[in-house]
Amino acid sequence: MSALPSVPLSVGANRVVRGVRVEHVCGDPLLSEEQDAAVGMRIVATAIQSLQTPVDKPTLFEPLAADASKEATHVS
Amino acid sequence: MSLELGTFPVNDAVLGTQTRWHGGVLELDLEELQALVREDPLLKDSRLELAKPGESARISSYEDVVEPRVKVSGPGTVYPGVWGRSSEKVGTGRTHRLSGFAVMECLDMSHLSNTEQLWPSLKMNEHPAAWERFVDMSGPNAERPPFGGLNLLCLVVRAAEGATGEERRSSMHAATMRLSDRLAATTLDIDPPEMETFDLTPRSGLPNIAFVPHLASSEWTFGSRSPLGTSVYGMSRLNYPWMLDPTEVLDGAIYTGGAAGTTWMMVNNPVVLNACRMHGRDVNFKTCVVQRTNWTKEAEKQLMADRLAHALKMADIQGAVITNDVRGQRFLEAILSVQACEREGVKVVLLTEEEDSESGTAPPLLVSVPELKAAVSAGTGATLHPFDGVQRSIGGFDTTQESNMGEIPAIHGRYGTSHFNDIFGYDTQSYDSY
Amino acid sequence: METPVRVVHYLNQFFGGIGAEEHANTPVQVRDGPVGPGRALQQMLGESGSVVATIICGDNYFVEETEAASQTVREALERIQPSVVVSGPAFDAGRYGMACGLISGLATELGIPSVTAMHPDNSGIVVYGKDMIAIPTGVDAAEMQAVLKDVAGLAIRLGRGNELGPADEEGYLPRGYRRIVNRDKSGAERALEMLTAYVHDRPFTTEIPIRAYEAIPAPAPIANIREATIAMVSSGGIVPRSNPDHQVSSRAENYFKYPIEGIDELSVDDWISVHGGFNTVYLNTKDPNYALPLRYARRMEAQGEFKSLYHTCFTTAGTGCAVSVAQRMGAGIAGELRDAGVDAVLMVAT
Repeated sequence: MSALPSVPLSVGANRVVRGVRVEHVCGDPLLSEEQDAAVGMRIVATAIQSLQTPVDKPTLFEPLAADASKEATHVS
Repeated sequence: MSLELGTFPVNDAVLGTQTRWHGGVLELDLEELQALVREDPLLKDSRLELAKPGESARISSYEDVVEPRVKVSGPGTVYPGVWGRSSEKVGTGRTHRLSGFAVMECLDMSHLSNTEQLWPSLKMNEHPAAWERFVDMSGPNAERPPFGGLNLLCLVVRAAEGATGEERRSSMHAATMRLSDRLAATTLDIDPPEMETFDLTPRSGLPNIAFVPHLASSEWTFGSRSPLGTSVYGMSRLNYPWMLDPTEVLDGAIYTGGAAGTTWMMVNNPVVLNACRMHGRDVNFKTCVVQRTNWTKEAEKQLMADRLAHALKMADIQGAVITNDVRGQRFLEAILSVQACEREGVKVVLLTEEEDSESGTAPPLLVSVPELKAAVSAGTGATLHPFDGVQRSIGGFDTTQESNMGEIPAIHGRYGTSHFNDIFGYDTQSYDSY
Repeated sequence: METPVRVVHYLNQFFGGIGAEEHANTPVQVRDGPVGPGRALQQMLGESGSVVATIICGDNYFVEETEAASQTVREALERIQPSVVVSGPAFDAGRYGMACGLISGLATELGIPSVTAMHPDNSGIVVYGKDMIAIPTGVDAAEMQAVLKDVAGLAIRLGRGNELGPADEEGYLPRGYRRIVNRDKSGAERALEMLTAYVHDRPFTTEIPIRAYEAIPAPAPIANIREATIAMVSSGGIVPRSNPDHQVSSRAENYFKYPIEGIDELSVDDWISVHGGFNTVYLNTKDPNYALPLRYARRMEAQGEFKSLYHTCFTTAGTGCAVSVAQRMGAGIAGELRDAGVDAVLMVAT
């Protein structure tokens, strides 16, 4: 699970799940407690799903289909 | 658009009763300069020390290095936007500079215990010096770029006990500016012995090139409003690509505060200077675009790379030299920029240090893309010769004078551990395949 | 005038004049002086080198009876004491190329430098390329003379004990090592020259080879996840708050293990991140589970999504980690988990 999936994919990790941000890979502290937990849960669930998925090369799994609406590009 | 640069060489720097430049000698009234620094009560314990090339001396824990420059005509102030200075656009008119001389800030941390020193746990696997920034004024490594041969006026500030000392850093940086301004002022009303004009009027029929330094923002350390860290016109936060005239860079529009590289390396940037001097012959040197890095989400990095490529396309740029100041995950930004630019038809040469080959087991770059066609290797930051022990220590990174003054083994270059990161290709040292 | 270097030349059964494919099982033979193309090699060496002996062996024999063949060759080299061993050129003959690779290895064992020549795609390069000096050739033995000239040049230098310079200067195939060199101009100048050539569509040579990490065959998916034991690993520098094992913030050399039995989630009271590469404020003041998502793994475990979480988590700090160190740590963790019968790993990379 990584917020910069290009790096593990490049290194050869075969199952990679996109995380939120380097500082908080499995969740988002800018959301409410419930939403934060939902994000974390979704990422781990996607990871468990990927373990059951056949892959033959480095493959990216996206946990949050509609994440454009939840993640603006903001930093502070 | 052009900038005249008048150079006043400092062949010798001496302590004396007044502060003035004449005939290649810079005389320093240390009392006057000390008082200028101590205008700020936070710096009452600071001191000034002069170190000269060839001396058996080591300057440790240096932060920023600033070359005294001053505008004698044309708008703005050199090093615009930092420490209360005007942020009016610079890069035209005439600027005077002292060459062979710089103000070097250093933190004296030798009084702090191991746990209070900055990032103490980083030192546990290596000789303490491998992590530190230091310069030896003599010995086999002294002549190497970028500071070889410089007379250095060191502003030594005692590091704050038990705190990161942001306040103290700000004071130190502001004092460095006061010193720089005072010393550059010695060149006013004198004709420069050397003069160079940078006239970057585009010539028709030549391809346009850009220099695109990727500069890490310290926003995640200091916050978005902090003036600390690398900044453009004093703006340190992560933001959109900055398009600058190359002459703005020569007037100090990019400031580092020692965060990565030094401000000295920006006004003396070899890519900028060489490209200026090539202008009008084979290429037009059109712009310097600063790309900020340290975004921590891949989508952000990708967005910035795409915007950079778009900006270069809009500016009718055919080719760019891309550099990167701090590698690690920020290197991904440089590679995404290479890819985005090449896909937009902007040809790219990536000038970068490489990762340690680890006897052939590790690849040269953390990540790469098929679009990377042209790369220049600046080596790995290795220093091949050990450092002799010295007689005099200025600043200090360790509690023991032994470390500050003793022999230091040759430094094997690798990410995070190198003597000098040759970000801009100052040196001829490189890496090659065997 | 320097003494001529003593050269031993290795050839397969074909170039050694014994015969073609039907003689590929010929065992090792040692002859005095040059044989076949060795005579041309001798010409190229001139007064600087002397082919004192030729070793000939069938391609099949060397590859199938490597033990026996190696023993014979070893003894011959020990007896003859050459200053350099030349093998091939093998062009695109795969078994011949492999034999040349083995010969180079034997020479190295005995402290003797060696040089060979073959096509870059020859399996000899794939398997042995890292450890030998190989001049690239095409597929056609018609270029024999030209190749032997280059081979002779390097053979003399190696035989005299000289160190070779970079691969592209000396004309051998890069072996994957990168070493410090001093170029004639600064990096900045070279970058601008390269860019000028590039934008004018003139040729240039890049200085950094593109090199991928080795591909790792993907493990098969877990057939029955409900029976699986899953372990948690993090490179986010997550350690107990007192950092009892003194994990460093950067350039870590070790990973550490901590019990998570009976713990439902990591709490800021008990855990900290010492990672030096990013702002750890969220991990250390709000939620360490961002870098080791124990809370969510436990929930899935409780729901029966998988059988159980392994009782121990593995952590290190990833900043500035050397590739070889990371490989060693990964192998260490994987080995421990495999021995413990763990089926899968959830790993966070920060």
